[in-house]
Amino acid sequence: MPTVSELLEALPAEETKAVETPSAQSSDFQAIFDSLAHRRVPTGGLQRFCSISGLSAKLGMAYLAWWIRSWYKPAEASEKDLLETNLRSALNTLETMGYLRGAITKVGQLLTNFPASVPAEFVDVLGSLHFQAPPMHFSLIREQLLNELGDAEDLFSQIDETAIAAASIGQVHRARLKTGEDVAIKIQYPGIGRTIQADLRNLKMLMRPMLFNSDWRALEETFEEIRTGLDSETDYENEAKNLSDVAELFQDDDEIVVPRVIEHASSRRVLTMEYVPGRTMDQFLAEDPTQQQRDDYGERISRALYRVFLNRMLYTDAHPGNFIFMDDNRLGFIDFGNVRRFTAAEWDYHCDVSRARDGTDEDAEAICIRSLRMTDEDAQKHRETLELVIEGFHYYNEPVMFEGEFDYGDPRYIRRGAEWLARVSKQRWLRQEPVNVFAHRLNFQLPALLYLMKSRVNVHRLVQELGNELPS
Amino acid sequence: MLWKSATAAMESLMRITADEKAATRQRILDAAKVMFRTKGFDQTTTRDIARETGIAAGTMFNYFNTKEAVVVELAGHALKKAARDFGRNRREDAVLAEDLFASIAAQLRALRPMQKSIRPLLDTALSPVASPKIDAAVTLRADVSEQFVRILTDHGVVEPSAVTLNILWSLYVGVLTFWGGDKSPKQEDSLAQLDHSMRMFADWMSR
Repeated sequence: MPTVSELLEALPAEETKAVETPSAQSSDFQAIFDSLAHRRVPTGGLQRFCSISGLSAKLGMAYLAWWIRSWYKPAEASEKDLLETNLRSALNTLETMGYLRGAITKVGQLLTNFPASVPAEFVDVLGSLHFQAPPMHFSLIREQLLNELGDAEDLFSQIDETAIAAASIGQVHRARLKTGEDVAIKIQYPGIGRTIQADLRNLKMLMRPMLFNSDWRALEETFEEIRTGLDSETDYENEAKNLSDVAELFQDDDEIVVPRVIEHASSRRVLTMEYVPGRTMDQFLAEDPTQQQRDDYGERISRALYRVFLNRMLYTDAHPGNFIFMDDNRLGFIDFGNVRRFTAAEWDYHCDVSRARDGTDEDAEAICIRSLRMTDEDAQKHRETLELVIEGFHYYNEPVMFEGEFDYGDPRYIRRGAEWLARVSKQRWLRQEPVNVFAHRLNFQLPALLYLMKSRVNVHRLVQELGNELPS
Repeated sequence: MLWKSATAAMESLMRITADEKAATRQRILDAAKVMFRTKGFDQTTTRDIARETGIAAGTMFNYFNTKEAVVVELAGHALKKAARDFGRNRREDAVLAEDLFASIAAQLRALRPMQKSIRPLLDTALSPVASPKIDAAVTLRADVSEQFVRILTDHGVVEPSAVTLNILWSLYVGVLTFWGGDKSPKQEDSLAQLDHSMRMFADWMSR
């Protein structure tokens, strides 16, 4: 997730009217943050935020540290020293946890669902908290392949020594099977799964100051949601199952390709898939595609995500790197590490959300109260929060409600979203349906993707059409 | 004439004896390897090894004085194989951290059947505080050290200082010690430990 200010900065200059971000607050903690600052967070356009997952990771990390800091903020002066010590050790622990790739980056990204108001200065300084472990060299790759699959020479006639992509917990190499088929091998960093779990336990320790807060329970649930998601992401057998389940949802005429898993060359830590050739979104956009091409790909991306959703699964990481623009105009749809499958109760909830979308104002308010897990008293007391969330509910549903081609390329739509995000982030309401941790992320990612592509998509018709495919 | 044929007979007998000795030695090593792996080093006695090999306990001492000597000899063979594997798979454009990683990873792979016997190997030959008394242990230590020096030299570190070698050796022994007790699936934690250790060393070297 980008910072709000960064997002706004990326919008076309003539349209930009900066939302007020809080000024940097003088802080007793500044020295601690300063000592951790070695690198600046690269700033730049929306394009960059979307194309470099590392940046959003850094920002996620920054949010996380800021978020932790915010718990200490309301302290009485007398407790300040103790809290400063706690914060210092929290930050030190964060630093240690960041030593290995993956875990904290992910947590940081996910917790941005509750972004505190982040002054840009803090983002710059805290960006250095993100530690990207160096990529695996080929000798380590070879050891992992030997451990997982036995002698790789029996399976592959060739493996490229240079990675084609960095996955959050490993990396991807191109290869060719002995049978001649081109494949992509995703290889996990050794022991990363257990490291992530250990880091999460440490992070939970950091949250102890929140223990007596009424939001603790909600936080714990959110944490569990994140933990489960990360856990499944480190199990490539689970990803293989997701891939084959999702692949079944698409036919040739969808022009959406989900790579086939090569089972005999896969394990819990190594995943070998059919290689999907094509361009990245950056490359596609650099070719100055026609409006029709932009619309076609926008429609395919929307179709892919909505169809998965309507089949009771949530694709949780719709960043540009996970879509491949194939030469024959098909869309490659990859990376199914964290696909959230809805329970029956969660699916009922989502059905109620859909019904509320087509319902009255009262229905919208009721579903938002439920989503925020508010009591009637909460709803009275936190009216401003509730109103804002209702506004967000309508905002996210605009494309589906619009009868015609919705123009995602119109900067006014995405700017309204950014402004809304800036306002809602100040509310500090932490309770929510855990399943929304990932759903909200997608709510923002899809419009951001389609904004980049300047696509027009008739989402209204698409959702109806996809809904009709389902058994009643 | 008689003398000549007597000499030939003697030579043939000696050759058979030498061959038999080598075969017995190998049988002892094979038996010990299995027993160390299955029972563990501490639970295995020289008497057990002799019995498993099918020789008298006293005969055993004609070959190896202690079971530590057996471990060192087994490790010597494994590390020679590891050196060959490393040489065969070595990548031309590997940086220092990768070469060191690959060299030690090959050792861990070759030593895998001896994972439960790593402590006596460290005590006898490889620990920084070990003072090897067995010739084979001296050779083993020298061979590993030489390989590290060669890798360092290949990366432009001509005549590495005693401090440099000692830091590398400490990390190396640290990895071996960790690996000896590593219960993670497929010893994946040891790979991570080795990767981090060698990166740390290479980073320090580049300063």
